[in-house]
Amino acid sequence: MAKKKKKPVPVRQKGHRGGRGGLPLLLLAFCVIATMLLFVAAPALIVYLVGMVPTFVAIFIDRDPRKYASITVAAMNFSGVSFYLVDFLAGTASFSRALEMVSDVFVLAVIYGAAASGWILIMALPPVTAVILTALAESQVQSLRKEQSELVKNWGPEVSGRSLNEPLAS
Amino acid sequence: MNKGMACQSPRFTGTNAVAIRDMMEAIDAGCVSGEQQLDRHVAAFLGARYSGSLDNELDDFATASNGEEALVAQLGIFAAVQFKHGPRELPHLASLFFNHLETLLSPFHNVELRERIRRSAEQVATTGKLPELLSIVRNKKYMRMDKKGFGQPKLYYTSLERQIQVQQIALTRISPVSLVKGRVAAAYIASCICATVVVMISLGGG
Repeated sequence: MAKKKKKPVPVRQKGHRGGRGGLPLLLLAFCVIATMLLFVAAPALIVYLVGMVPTFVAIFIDRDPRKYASITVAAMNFSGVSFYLVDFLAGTASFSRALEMVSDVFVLAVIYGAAASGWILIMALPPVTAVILTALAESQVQSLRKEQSELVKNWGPEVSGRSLNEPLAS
Repeated sequence: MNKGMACQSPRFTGTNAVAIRDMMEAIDAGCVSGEQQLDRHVAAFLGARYSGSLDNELDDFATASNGEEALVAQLGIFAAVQFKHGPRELPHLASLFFNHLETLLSPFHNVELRERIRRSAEQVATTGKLPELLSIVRNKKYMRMDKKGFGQPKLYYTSLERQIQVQQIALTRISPVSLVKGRVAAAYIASCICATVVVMISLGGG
């Protein structure tokens, strides 16, 4: 009897660990908040949906599977929106107040400005991180070189595997 | 070998040294700067008159492949002769060997140990006792200690070199790494800001 062929074990490809990254979590958080608002203060949903437009745009244009840019923009965006959701949660605002809010330039400027600050963070932090990482790596190299020169000082240049006449690399 | 015959070395023709002790005194008095104090005539003279066998020391001298080995072999010959036949002090020879201390200490790697040996040798060199000088510069315990201890820093140096290479490679790849880490940091910062704002608003609203 012929042996049953073993099913090939699916190999998870490198770089795809964690599935679609932060997108499901982001959408879940968005839906949970939207549902809560629908039941607690339905007019707030209008402000919420209009206010969170920059987050939808970020999710759409962010090609990174881990969606770090989207998460950053969403977090900052929600910070901006949450200022205006308080009124609704306290039960003092109506649909007309919600429509008034979303047509107010100042309100939109605050909400979208907060989202823009998320983009600023995304653009500003990688160069800052590069500078910090370079400085750390360079200081690490310097301290290692210092240790090497200490060894040469204590044990002579032969400790480096070089002969006495051979110059040490700077 | 004619033991009654004076040394035929052109350097000591005028001394007419027949006894080994007289010869050692003549060598001490007429020692010249440089590493070579022993020629074949002197070596044959000492070998013939030495009470016992000087073969090992002479063999070391004959087969010396570099200046350091030749110098140690000569010191070994003179030290052996002085130990058995005197004279008690050979100050010029001792100071001459002391002048070549760097060559004599070249097998030692540890700088601290070299310094310790140098200080001891300096004290002994003034007394003119070559056996003591030899026992210091070729101390078996020190040599073993140095050789044993040298392996560890050598390995450590190599591992440091490897770490430096890793860091240098990391430096060349810093751009993509910093992009990811920067975005992660931005996401964390934004999340923290959001949480703080929500908490503050909740507290203010409550």
